[in-house]
Amino acid sequence: MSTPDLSSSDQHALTGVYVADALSEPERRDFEAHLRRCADCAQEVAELQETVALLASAEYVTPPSELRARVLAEASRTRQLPPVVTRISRRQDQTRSKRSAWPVAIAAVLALIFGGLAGGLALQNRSLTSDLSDVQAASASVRSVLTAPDARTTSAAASGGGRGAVVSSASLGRSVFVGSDLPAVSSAKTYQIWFVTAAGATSAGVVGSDVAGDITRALPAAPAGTTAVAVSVEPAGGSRAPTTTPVLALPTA
Amino acid sequence: MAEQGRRRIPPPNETESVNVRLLRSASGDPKGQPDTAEHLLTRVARGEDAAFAALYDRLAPLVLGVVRRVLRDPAQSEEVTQEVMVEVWRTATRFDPAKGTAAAWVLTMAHRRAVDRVRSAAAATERDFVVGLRDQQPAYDEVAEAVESRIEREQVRKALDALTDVQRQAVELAYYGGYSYPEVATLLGLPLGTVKTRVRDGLIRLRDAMGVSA
Repeated sequence: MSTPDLSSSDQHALTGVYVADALSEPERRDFEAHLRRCADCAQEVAELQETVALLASAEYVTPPSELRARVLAEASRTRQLPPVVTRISRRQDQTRSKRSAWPVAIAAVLALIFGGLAGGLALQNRSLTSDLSDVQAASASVRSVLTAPDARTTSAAASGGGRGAVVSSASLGRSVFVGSDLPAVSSAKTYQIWFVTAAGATSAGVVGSDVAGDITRALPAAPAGTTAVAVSVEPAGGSRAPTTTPVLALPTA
Repeated sequence: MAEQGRRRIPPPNETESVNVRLLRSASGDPKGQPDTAEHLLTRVARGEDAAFAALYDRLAPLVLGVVRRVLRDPAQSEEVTQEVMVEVWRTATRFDPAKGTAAAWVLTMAHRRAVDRVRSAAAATERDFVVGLRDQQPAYDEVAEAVESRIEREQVRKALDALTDVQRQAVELAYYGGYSYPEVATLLGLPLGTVKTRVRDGLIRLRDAMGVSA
């Protein structure tokens, strides 16, 4: 811990030049350390920052349109910082406590899946074996669904052990699959997630081999008419249609 | 944050200037539009591209404006504006509405980046040349481009009139000039303590003249 060169009373005199960004780098760091300990200075700095923001707001300059395109493009390539964890935990607790787990009509959902298979209906194939790990990396998308004001959760026990849930937000048009304590599957197999519609099951992606336990995956947009999300164990790399009885089926409609 | 009693904020209308809308969001207008900058920034924090585009439209002209005042060079100013707006996207979750307005958060970032760029070696030689020209320049840009800023330029000009000449000069050099306070002291031939005091007192007078309270 460095000893500040200036006494506290000398630090108070720096609020103006700090806000004007007229301090050297070491002085700025020392002053920011002072701000963390001095409520009066922090208050004054906040007010003076609003003041210079008003000064700055008089400097309106229309940016060239190419700049907008470049900024939006670069932002789309840029990961965002995750939010502070404590806020997320509180919101998740509120979401779960407000919603009771819906009764899962597994039989009806299974009938849909196997009925579709038995009837030989054509299944839509959309990036069937797409590895969801890239989607998972977009943690901002996961968090936005989990914390959406209209987030709805459906959860159920998986038949092989563990539990799963789907959290979906109608306003965002996206959903997230969350699995907890799911049993490990062999490296020759993977969990695969399905969107269930009247036409059958469409892959929502594979979870990946050697992945089990606690899983969070942002799902691609569900096809129209999706009534449930199901999870089955498939050969590694995924299947075009469920080849085994789903371990989990969650109505989403 | 602006005290409405001390600063007349006109009722909302179609030609409402950008700055007044910023103030309205800051003042917590109960009739406030849902698309305040703070609300947009909260949505940006959730990864909403549309909210970021709207926030860009709202704030990029102000960012570019202040960066241009400090940097002068249009190409560098655009580069810094891009850096700032992408940083706003990247760190949106770090914005705390309890600590100030979205505009202040963004413009603080913008000003700091502009000053950092100024102090880099590439800019140093040009700065020395421009110094002599800057001393008598008014604190507001008389060639400002947009009608939208006319009201706040007028308000800023009136607020700056509340400062003494030496306070105004110190604030201009420190804030718009992007100089360190020892450089300001050298330019004005003043002791360091005097510069600190004049900048602080000048900003406090501006704060009071513009009715800012936190």
